[in-house]
Amino acid sequence: MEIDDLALVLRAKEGDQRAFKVLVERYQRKVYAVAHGMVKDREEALDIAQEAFVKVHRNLDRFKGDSAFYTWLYRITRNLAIDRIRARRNESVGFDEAVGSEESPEPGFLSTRLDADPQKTALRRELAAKLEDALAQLPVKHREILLLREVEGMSYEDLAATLDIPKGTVMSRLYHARSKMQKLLEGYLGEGDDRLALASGEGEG
Amino acid sequence: MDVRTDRDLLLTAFADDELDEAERAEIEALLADDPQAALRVADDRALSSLMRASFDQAADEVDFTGFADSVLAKLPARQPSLASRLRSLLGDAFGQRPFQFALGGAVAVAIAIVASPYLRPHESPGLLLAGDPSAARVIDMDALGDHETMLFKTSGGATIIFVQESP
Repeated sequence: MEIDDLALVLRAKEGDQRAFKVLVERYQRKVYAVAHGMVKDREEALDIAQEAFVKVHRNLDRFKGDSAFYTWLYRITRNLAIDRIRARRNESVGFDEAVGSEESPEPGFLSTRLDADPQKTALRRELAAKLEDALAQLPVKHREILLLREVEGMSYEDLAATLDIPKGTVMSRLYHARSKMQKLLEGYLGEGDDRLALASGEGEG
Repeated sequence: MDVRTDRDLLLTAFADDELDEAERAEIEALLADDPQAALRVADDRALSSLMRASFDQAADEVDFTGFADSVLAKLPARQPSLASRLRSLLGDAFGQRPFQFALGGAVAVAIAIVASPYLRPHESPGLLLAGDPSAARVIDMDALGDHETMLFKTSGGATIIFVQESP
C-alpha cells in the first residue's frame, strides 16, 4: 500500500531520509516536467527540480499539512523557475504581458488536424519543439497554469491554491492561455500538407 | 476582436470536467445546438492531450536513476524535534527494554523522594514534599555518547535527573 504524502512528510520531519526519498521519487518526473516547460532547458530544469526538493526539505517544519504537499512543492518549483527566467533572460514576467494574438483561434482547427484520438498521436520531436516554442511565447502566468494543469492534472481548486488566485481567475487564465496556444499552433500547423501529416502522425512506424 | 464571455470560460471548464452538474447540463445542451462551441471544446481537449504527451516525452528522455540520491546527498542532517526524539527514545525503551526502563524510572523517583528534603530544605522539610512520585513526568531526554539522560519533574516541582547507559 502506498504511504500518503503527509505521513511521509511527518517521517521526513523526524529525520527519516528514506521517507523523503520516496517523496522525491514520487514527484521527480512531474517537478522536472513543470520546470522544463518553464525554462525549456534540460540541465537547468534538472537543477531546478533538485533545488526545489532541497528547499522543500529545508522548510519541512513550515509545512503544516493545511494544503496538499504537491501544491506546496509545485509552488516552490514554479517560483524557482520564474527566478531563473528572470535571471537568465531578463524576461519580463509581468502578468499584463501581452504575447500572442488576441484573436480567437479558428474553432476546430487543432482537433481536426490531430488524430481522432490525440493521445495516440505520435508526437514527433518536431511537433514537440513547436509546442515548446509556442509555450515559450506565452506570458509566464499563462505558461505556468497550463503546465500545472496539463502536467500534474491539477484541479481548479489546487491551481487556485498553488497560484494563490481565485478560482474564477483560474478559469479565465486557462481560457486565455489555451486560446493563445491554439492561435500560435494554428500558425505552425497551418503551413501546408506536411504540417498536417506531422500532426496526424502519418508515416509513424 | 476576441471578446471573453462567461460562456467561453464555461466551455474551457467543461473541457476540463470542472463544472458542477447544473452547469454541465447547461453546456451539454449548448453543445448539442452549437457546433462551433463543440469544436472549441474539442480543441481544448486536443491541446491538453498534445501537451501531456509532450511533457511525458520530455520526462521520458531524462534518466532519473540516482536523482533522488543526489538530492539526498545535498540535504543537511535533520535534527528531529525534542518531542520526536522523546517519542523515539521512549518507544525504544518500552519496546526493547521495558523492565530496565521501568526499574530505572522507579529508582530515579525513589532517589528524588529521599533526596528532596536535602535539596529543598526550606520548602520541603519532610518526606514526599518533592511531590507525588506517581505524577512525575519526563520533561527532557537526550542521548550523549554512551549515556542517555532523562529529566523528570514531580508534581511538587522537584527535578529528577536520571542517567542510564545506552544499549
